[in-house]
Parts: sequence; structure tokens; C-alpha cells
Amino acid sequence: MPTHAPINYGLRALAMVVLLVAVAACSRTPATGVGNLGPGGGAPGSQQEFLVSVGDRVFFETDSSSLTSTATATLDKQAAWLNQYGNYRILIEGHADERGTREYNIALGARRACDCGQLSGVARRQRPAHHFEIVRQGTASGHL
Amino acid sequence: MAESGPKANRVKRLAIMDQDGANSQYLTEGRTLALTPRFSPNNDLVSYMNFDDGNPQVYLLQLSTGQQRRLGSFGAMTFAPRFSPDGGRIAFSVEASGATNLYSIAVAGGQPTQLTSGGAIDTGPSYSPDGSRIIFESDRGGSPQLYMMAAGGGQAQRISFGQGTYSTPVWAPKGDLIAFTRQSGGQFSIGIMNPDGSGERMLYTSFHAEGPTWAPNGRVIMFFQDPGGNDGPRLKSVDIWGRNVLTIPTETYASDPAWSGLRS
Repeated sequence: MPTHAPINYGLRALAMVVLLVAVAACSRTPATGVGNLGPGGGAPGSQQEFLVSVGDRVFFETDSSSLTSTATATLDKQAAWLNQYGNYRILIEGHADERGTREYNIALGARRACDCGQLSGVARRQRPAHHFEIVRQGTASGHL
Repeated sequence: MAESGPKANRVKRLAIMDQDGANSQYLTEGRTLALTPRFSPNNDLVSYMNFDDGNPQVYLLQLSTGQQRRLGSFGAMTFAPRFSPDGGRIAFSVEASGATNLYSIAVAGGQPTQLTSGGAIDTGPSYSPDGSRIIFESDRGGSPQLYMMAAGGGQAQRISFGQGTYSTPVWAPKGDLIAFTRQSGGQFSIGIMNPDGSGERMLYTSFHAEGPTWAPNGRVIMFFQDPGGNDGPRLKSVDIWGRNVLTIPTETYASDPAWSGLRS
């Protein structure tokens, strides 16, 4: 069963778009609209639009950090959107299914986050360093 | 680790207790997430990983004084600490740009020594009781398996060849066995094997069981078992013949047990 990392704490604490690189055992889970900011598609350039129209997370197969074609497509859309709306800070979180051993999961989450950070194609150089952060933690529920 | 609170926001505090669950005391306040405590051989230090700045870092806690300090600053994350048998060094994992490699460092400080290199995940190091070798887990071959190398690093030899993946190897105090976690067929098992990889036996299998630690006599293993859902983990013990499975009574949920050495 895939479980979703809670997105709300990131939005509350950091007040920014969270480009959340989450994971579940199932890569077929719909990748859009999982953050709960209420109904509606949102205005162009809004966080809601990012969540609903682009998708804030990608999924990996169990024990893998290889991106699926669906995940790559989502990352491409994210990069295009984030390059268009450059006023957001970006946080990439890597997660792993909680049904794994803790130390390996920590490393796997980091590898997933770093891989997505490299491949997302977001124009990092145009942003202050602190506007592009990679957090390497957690299980599917956001906690180990 | 004593665990309390809802699953999505669970507080994990370092706690210490007798081996039967009695006389538990908390060592940390739970403001930050801590995991995987391990005793030094003289039982005065505990190394563990602590998420104090968002990413895990190896910390040391001195039990006699309560003082805590970070082991050092290297790489984005440091984790999976384990003391050498003489207590002088700690082997641990360092993650940088998605690759995780093994290092060791003198507990007193100084420069770390790099033990493995490459883009794979190498973690879970555990020294042999004579200090000459390290067993660890690596996914360099595609999936997590157990590997053996000299304590100073160099060529590593794979020793696990059964079905599924292998993690969290821990060398028995007498040097005769390796305990590990195996994942296969959707189940987790706590198992043991000889240091050359032969004689593999599963001692306990369930939905999620992980993280073996050896009793000083080398004949009993403690680990944690998580039933899944909203329930939390509990500590269990089993002997090396797979019998006498016990649940350790703890006030809260509990995980990541580390058995101390004998007190002199």
C-alpha cells in the first residue's frame, strides 16, 4: 500500500512550493492532486496549480532509485513550471517505504532526492542557494 | 528508542533499561528524531544518529555525564555508527550527492578514513570482535547484500546469496555468527549465518522485523517488530535456535535495541 508523505508541514513551515519527491511501493499511484489545499485548479502560478496540474511528487519502484517514465514526465513538467514561476523556493524530499531497514532507507531517500534534484532541470543557477534545498529523510509517512 | 505519539508525528527518545524491560530511563528529550543507538564496548558512550538539522548526523552521548556532541562534519548526512571492539574508532556511513560510503574515525577526533568508494549505498558496518574485519551491507550488485572487507577498507567480498535482500549485519560477540535482517517475499526475517556466508538460518519472520543486536553471551538476539498499521514497534528476543521468542515489556513503543556489553 502506498502511503503519502504529509505535505502540509512543509508548506506551513517553509511557505513555499514543495517539490516533493516521495515514494511508494506502487509507481502507478496518480501523481497529481495529492496535496490537500482544497478544491479547484488554482490560479496560474499558484501552489494549487502546481499541485493539481503539475504534480508535486514522483514515485519509485520498491528498493529502486530509477525514475519511471511517468516520474520523468512529472519532473519535466515541474521543471517547466518552476522555471516559469521563479519566485518559489524549492524543497526536494526523498522518501522510502517504511517497510525497509532504517539505515538503508535513509541512504535510499537521499539518493532519490539527489537524483531528482539533478534531473529535474530546474534552473538552479538563477536561484539563491537557499531556494533549492534537498532534504534526505524519511519513510513514506515522512518519518522513520 | 522509546516511541510515542501518532504515527505521522512520532516522538523517538533514547531510553535505557534493564534487559528485561525494567528500570527504564530516558536519555534524550525527544525534541529531535534520534535512531540506532549503539554502546561503546566499555558502555560509557552511546553513538546514535540524530536529525537535529533536518539531515541525520552521528552523535555521541556520554552516559556518565549526559554530554552529547556531534561526531564531526563530513558529507550531507552521517549515519549507521558502530564502535570498533577496542572502543577507539567508529565506523559509519557518509552520504554525499546520493552516494553512501563507509568511513571510520577515531572517537577522540581527527580525520576520517574512507573505507569504501563508488556510487552505491554502503551502510550498516559492524566490526569483527578481533577488530580485523568489517561486515556491511551494500547495493553495489543491484540489491542490498552483505559484504566483508578488512577493517581498513579495500576489496570486499559478498557473503549473502539467499533469496531477497540482506541488511543490518551485526557480528556476534564471540565472532562465530553474523545476525542480519532479510527481506524476502514481502516478509522480514531475523537470521544468522557464519561469517563466510554458510549455514544461514532464519530465526523469526514477520510483516516487519528489523535490527538485531546480540546479548553478550552470543546466544540471544533482540530486535524490533512492527505489526504495521497504526500500531507501533515492540522489542522481541529469540535465541539462536529460533526458540524462546519473548516480547520485552516497555512503557511505550520501542525500536532499535542495542544490548550493552557485560558490566565489569
